[in-house]
Amino acid sequence: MKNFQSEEDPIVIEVMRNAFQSVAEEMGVALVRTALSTNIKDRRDCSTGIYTEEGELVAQAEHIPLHLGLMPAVVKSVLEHFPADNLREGEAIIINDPYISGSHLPDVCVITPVFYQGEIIAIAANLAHHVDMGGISPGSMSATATEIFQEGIRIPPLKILKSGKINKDIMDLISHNVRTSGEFWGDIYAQLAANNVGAGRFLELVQKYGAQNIKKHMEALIKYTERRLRERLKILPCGVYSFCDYLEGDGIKEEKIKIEVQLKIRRDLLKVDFTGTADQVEGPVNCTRPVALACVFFVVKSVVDPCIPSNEGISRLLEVITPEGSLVNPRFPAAVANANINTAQRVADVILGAFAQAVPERVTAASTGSMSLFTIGGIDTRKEKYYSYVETYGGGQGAKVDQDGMDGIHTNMTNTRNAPVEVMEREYPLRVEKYSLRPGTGGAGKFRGGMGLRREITVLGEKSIVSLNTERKKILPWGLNGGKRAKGSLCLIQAPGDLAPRELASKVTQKVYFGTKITLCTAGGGGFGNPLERDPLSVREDVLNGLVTKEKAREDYGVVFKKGSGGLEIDFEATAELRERKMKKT
Amino acid sequence: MPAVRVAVDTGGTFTDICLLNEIDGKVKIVKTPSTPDDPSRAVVNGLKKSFEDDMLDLRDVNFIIHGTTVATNALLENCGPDIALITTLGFRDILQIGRQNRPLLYDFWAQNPAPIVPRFRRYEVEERVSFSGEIEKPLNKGEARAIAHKLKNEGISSVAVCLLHSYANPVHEREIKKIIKEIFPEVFVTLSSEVLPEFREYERTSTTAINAYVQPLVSSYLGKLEKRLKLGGGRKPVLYIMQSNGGMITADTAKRLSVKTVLSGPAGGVIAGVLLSRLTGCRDLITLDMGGTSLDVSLIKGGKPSYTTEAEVGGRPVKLPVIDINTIGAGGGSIAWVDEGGALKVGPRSAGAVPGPACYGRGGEEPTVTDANLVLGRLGAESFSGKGIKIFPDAAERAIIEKIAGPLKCSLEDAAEGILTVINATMGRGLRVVSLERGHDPRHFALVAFGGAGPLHGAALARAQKIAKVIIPRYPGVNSAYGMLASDVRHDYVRTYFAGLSSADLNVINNLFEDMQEEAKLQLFEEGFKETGMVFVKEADLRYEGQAYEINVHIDEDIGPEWPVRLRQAFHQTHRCLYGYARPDREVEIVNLRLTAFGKVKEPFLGRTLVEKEAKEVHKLADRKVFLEGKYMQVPVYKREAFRPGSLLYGPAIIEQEDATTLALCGQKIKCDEWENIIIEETDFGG
Repeated sequence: MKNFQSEEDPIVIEVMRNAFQSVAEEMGVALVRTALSTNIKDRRDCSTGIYTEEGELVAQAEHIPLHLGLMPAVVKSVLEHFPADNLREGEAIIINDPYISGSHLPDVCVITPVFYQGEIIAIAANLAHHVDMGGISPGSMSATATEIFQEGIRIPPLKILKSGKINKDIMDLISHNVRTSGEFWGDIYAQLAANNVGAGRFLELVQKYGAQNIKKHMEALIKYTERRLRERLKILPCGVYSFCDYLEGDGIKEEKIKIEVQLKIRRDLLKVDFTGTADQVEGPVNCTRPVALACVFFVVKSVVDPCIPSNEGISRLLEVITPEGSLVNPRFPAAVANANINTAQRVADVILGAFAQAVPERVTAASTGSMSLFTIGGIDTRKEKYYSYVETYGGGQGAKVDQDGMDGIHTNMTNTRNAPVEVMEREYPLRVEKYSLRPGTGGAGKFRGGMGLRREITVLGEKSIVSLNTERKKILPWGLNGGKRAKGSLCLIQAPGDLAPRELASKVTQKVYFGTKITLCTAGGGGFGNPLERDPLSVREDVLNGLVTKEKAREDYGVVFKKGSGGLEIDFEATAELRERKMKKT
Repeated sequence: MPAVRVAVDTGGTFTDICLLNEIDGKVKIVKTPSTPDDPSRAVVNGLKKSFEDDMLDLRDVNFIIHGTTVATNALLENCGPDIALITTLGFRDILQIGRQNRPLLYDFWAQNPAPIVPRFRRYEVEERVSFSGEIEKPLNKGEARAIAHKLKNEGISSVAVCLLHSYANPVHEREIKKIIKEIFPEVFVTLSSEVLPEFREYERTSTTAINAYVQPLVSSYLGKLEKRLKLGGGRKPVLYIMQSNGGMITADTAKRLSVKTVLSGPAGGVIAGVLLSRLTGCRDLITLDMGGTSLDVSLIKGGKPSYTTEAEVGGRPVKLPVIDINTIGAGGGSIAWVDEGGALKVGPRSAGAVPGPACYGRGGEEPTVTDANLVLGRLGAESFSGKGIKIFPDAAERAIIEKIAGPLKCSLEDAAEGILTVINATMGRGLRVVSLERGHDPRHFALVAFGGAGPLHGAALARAQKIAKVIIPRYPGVNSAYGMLASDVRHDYVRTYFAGLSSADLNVINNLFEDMQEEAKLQLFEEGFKETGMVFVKEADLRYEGQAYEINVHIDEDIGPEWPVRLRQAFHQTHRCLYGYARPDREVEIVNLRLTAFGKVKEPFLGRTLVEKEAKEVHKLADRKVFLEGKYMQVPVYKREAFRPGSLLYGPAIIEQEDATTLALCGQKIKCDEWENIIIEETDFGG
């Protein structure tokens, strides 16, 4: 292999990218397979990665975009607190403190140095969302916590593994403070095992290619990513673009919280500046800097180059400013647990909004804007047991320059699967009355936004507490280039005997009784382009499918159907006339 | 009178025929161009061609095994008929919402496939059955009748019915079918309780709707084929159809349960691997089927293929047991390019058959894997003549120089070899997915390489993955058809039954298994099997209470009082083996019971030639200048036909045959076994 020695051999880079990515992915498979909790197993709320000895991310297997920004930050910041020369073979570090690692307390990170001939050659690390880390509410994601101490146990970087043995004292201390200690032990074992798989596979590569070569190509792969991103940045028009949007409340108060961004595009640098964003708030929606970084990385990767390898190379061309003490970089001990549900989605929205001014053809209009968390817990009288149902709901995707937004789908920072009705009704004392798209909720446009979702659930348990946590009830998902806003979210409750359902706030926790029906409706996505330019046949299809009414077809889209026929025959002449009239008006 | 069995495999470009003379065990191969407008024409043409020299006709044929892509193509090309779906009130959007996840994390444009039944053809009917099968709300028959009339007026050809919890009680689905058939007797009706009586409504609805979608097409195609085969009067061959699970079903069953054929395309190749494993005694194999556009990788452990119930076709789930095959975009036609970061990339984009690789001279200007192989001398220009293709080596060179060597500032040879290095790395990842990610070390497996491009890449891939042995079957280009010759009739049954193992009602379990076995027996009797030719295999899907994933555990004893204890142990053990740990303190839950019924057909008698004691020298055709391992060398070229059982030589070597070219690397040992397989082995690492 004569090419092998050269600095940046294009063939070797591709071979090595495959090899490093394989290592990260095999770690991910090991973690998902061996984990105990459904959070990791089914929802795949976890990520794995391989790093250089300095903690620079080389390859990552992520299942949720939110981890895209957490993984690059976590190892480096832990190494700052915990220098590498402190580490020995057979050791591993555990940490979940958001003020060091980012994210929230349920995300526990395990970091394992990989040694070759007595020296650290790389680092294997993974991050997984645990079921519970203590605190005032099960799941450690209280909607009303006001400081991090209420959210659960905070673990600084600690050696969980020494000379290959688990430090039982630490494990006992932690598991004493969490509600599901069995799952905690099981998942930590899985996390340690996954890193071992990574270390083993990595050392196989070292044996095959030699330590120097491997080190060189870790750096080469990072540089390659940087180079590729730099090339792709050239297609963006240089300039400064600003955007701002709001959260509707922090769970304590219903008050607008501003998120502002200024995006500066240069030939060789993207600067994302959140100056102007509101100060940190009382409720648990404060978003650590790494979570904000995750949103930046997500949007940049999606807009600029969806296939670019996720590694340190991306960060090298980004400058992200998150003012200290603001919503996107809170000071200790602000509560942070729910930033992932709502704040992360809104941060992604504002960055997309800024990019929309530079390259509207590469973004979507605003999507549903929340992960829409629905939890019900109480007593299942059939089994005389505590039950707890937790699910996040998708909604409408924002439309694009040449494509409608998808209906009823998870967007931007999350992508977890839903719970089947047949599973919900068997496992929990719940009856699902309806699970459907929400017609009419996608914003009108030349390409329309996706429709939101509607789930109606009757509670058949006792002493149940329902928590809803969504957004975009009042401040609606925006459209682009003349596309209209989507319909907002809606939460309803109907107790037995109530004649009609009553509206609830979008962030609410309350007791409910047997027979109460709760409805969560998520927001649609914004439209793209002038609705009057939409292909009348597409409008007809939506009307046919019951997603847009005949009246709205006329009002929003200027499409007229022939009278009398009963069917849906487009009156093209009347349509052209009406559209012209409407065009003139605007 | 000779008795033969014939396998016919319809592919995109060619229809492959494999004819086995059951008396002398001789196999005959025929390839004929496919006729996509009516695939049955090519089937009959091919059969005629294969009968020609031996003075055979249809009366000599015991049975025909047919692999058809009619269902698959209809799904991938969305060219099926208008169909309807009937669901429980409030749930018609289940089919569209799916699992609410998007296919790609970072690509805003990547969409889930459009629902196979548009929203306006998804009807809701008032009714409700609970998860335990109790009727909470009776079926509104008036509504059902009104829907039936609508279907008739609109001229719908096929309708799927999937109601909530119908796996627990199918009575409402059956009533609906009755009502529809009264009003609209000629429409096809698929009930979810008949196709897949298993919980999780989205996957069940999808599978049921897919059956409704492909049934009219498959049924009319098979009807046409039967007519062409003129199966009237005299002794007539039985027509079997290949399923996605590697087994066969009769044409009549395929007309009803057409969804079972949708992933059958690559299944034949894996079944060929199973046959090879039986013949060669190599129990653990990885099959590598590499064609023009894609690579199918599958793992055979202990002589048995791997199965999954998580399969998808074009993004739509089909939750029936199918052979677990990992398909990646790596084939002879995969296109190479240099990306913005200056790295060399190959695939998944393919030049396909049109325009094809640059060297075909049909307007393809982008360099492909085939072009790289040609430029380096690994493929000879004459090896294309079998396919009737004229080759332009200059065009291949030009494409590689312009698109790769130029931008990378390297030599033509380095660029071409780079293309192959990169495609092999991609293939390596595909191979690790079916092995390492499922807990198997690929180094303990042998590789079976086939398909048009497999034999050319198998040895290099094996070396890179430290696999010591590669098997190139006698007919690598028609291996799928060859495998079908050894297939049995197979039916899969499932019943959802939820219970903790400690509290499970064994009578219920026994009844459910008996119920399935009765259904299976009736089916197999109908297909002409005697009880002695039937084999039944029982399995249970188990999980720890609270888990969301099940593990399939084999049941090999009668279900008596001791059974739950042993099943629990078996589950702990399987769990430990798959996931590295067990939790003996946790309750184990039964979720599904499964029965697989086999109708055993006579094992094919395949001719073998005893290995000659003195290895006979293989006659060399020529030496060719080949670029291998960074330099040019003279590599001997052989004809496959020159190999006899016992032939032995050492690499590097190129072996050419009509349907494929095999490459063995320096230091590899090349043997021909008694079944005329080529076995390539490493000599310098023990494994």
